[in-house]
Amino acid sequence: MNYVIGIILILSFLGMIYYCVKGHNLLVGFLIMATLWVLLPLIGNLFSPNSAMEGKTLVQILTDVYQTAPQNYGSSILVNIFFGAFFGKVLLETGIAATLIRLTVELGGDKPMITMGLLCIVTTVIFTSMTGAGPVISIAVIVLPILLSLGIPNAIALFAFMGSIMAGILLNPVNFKQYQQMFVVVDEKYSTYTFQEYSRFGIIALIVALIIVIIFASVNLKRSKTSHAWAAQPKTQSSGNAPWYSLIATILPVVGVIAFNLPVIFGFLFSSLYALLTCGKLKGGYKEVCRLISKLFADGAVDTAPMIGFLLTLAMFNTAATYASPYFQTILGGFIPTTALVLCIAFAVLAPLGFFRGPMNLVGCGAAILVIILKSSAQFPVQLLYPLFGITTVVMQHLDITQSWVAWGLGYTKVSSKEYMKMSIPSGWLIAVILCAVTYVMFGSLA
Amino acid sequence: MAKELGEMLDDLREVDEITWGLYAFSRDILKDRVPYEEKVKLTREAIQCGKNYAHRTGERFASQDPQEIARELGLKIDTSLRPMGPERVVFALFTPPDKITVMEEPLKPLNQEQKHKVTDVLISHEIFHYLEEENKSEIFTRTKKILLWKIGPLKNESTINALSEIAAMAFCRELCELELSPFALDVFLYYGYDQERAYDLYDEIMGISEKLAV
Repeated sequence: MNYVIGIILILSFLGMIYYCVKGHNLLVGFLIMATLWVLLPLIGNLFSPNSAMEGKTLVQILTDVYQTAPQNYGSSILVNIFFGAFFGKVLLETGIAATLIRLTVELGGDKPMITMGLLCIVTTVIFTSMTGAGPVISIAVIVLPILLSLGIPNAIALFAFMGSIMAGILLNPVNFKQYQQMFVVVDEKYSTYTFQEYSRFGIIALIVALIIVIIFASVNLKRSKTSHAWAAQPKTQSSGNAPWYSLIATILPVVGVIAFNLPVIFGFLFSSLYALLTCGKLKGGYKEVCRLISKLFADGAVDTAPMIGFLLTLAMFNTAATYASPYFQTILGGFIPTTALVLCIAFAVLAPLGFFRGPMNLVGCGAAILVIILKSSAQFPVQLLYPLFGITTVVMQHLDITQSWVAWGLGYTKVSSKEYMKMSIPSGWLIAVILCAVTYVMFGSLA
Repeated sequence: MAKELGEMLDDLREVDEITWGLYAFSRDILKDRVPYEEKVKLTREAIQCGKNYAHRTGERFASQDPQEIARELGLKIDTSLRPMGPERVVFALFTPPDKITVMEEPLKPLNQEQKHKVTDVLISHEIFHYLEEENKSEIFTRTKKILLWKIGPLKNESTINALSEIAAMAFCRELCELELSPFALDVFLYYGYDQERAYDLYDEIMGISEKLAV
């Protein structure tokens, strides 16, 4: 019976991959999957006891999946997301992000390759603190027209921009918390793993990813050549230049967390206040300042609302996966690596399965694989597992056409998925291979 | 009430060349590095450069026909059906060393005669970019540079893309003997995609013109 349930679970898993690739709604998809993955183990439990359900009543299981999982997930990360989104809005409102971009362009001038490289660096820096579709689009409508006006072909411009965001997110504390929480849902002991501990790897990952993205974009640019375009476009709203000393606000939250061990929400609040103060936005009296802060917070929350809905159903799915894990263990247990070297090689080889929200992607079907690996007898340390899953999630997902803002970018630049994926898939895989090797060198001995 | 396309084009016919120059500068990535007076001066020089090259080219090939000149220069002209906009509409491209691409989508709403005329204008504009490549060591649009930064012996100078566009428009206006600046095609061709944005462009251009008049 365990085999039958296991096979049905695997088939549903494959169905979910198909569902993700087809680009259907993920919030609803993961809610259906969570329900299915509770239902099937419950049926299996009637025939043969399921170790994950031992001593638990039906109500306790339903509470675990539908109440405790999203509740715990919410209490620990939603605040980070909301304050991160607020900070993103502050960077946009004050003109700090736009000024950084403008100054960067003025450094590079008419040399497309140099200016593109500099814009990649600045975009990466910006997205160590910002995240979410709203901020990405706000920055994209500044950066992409600049790249296109330099004669850079649309597909290369889009890839360079999206790749740079991905590099920044490798060191983004909000994204770190999102993925780390998926480990905590499976076992509370993983909550001791912190961003500070991860940051040494995160910095290396950011640098490797950024270099590969710039190399890929530059090589493609060299091959395809820049062109002079006669193009018309409406003027973008200019927010004016922010003062130079306000620009450091962009990196303050990450520096605060890494260098001074400050809590990230404090970092976001302090940096927001600094940005608003230095850009002269705290004027007009107490009431006006309160109105501005409330508006920025509300706008940020609206930007992140769809993502939060999805993450909460993903938390349900993660918990449901713990009940399904004994069946996966029965079928796949023999295939789970038992040494750090084989595990790192497996992640490097299978990394492309992180695209299309596939089985190596934590914000896709990878949530189930995570549970299987965490529950495996090898008991790999989180210091090794988090970077591996981080690679196949952050790198692949943020280059992928199923990512909301990449899909938006394809429409904005009128680039075909095929053109874009010719760069995103090989570069993503190369980054993953290098970073899996780095992970083994840095943390392999801990296993 | 929003104006009809014909009315807008009539208004744009009255817009002077400096306005069009400032409009081109407003799209340049280095717009903040060039002071207003310098923009006006450079616009005049770029227009002169475009006109001079139009005369030289007309004499060189004993023709004013852009398609014929392109053939004589050995340029390859092709068309592309690539979808555009609505945020940014590309009309034509010049890819060195010798390729001109005319985008078909913006021309779709036009009748056969309009299509032919507009294609000539687009090709002549791109011919100028070819001539810039051919004469890059001496042409104004490539030799005029601004200093972006200097640290000891290290420095970075850049050309100004807007000058290239202003000169290309002056070149094609002269070569095709147009009453209206070719820049007006931005409004005319955008109209087929998104009337709202075409009005925005029109308002922006008229705004620059009014400011200049004051």
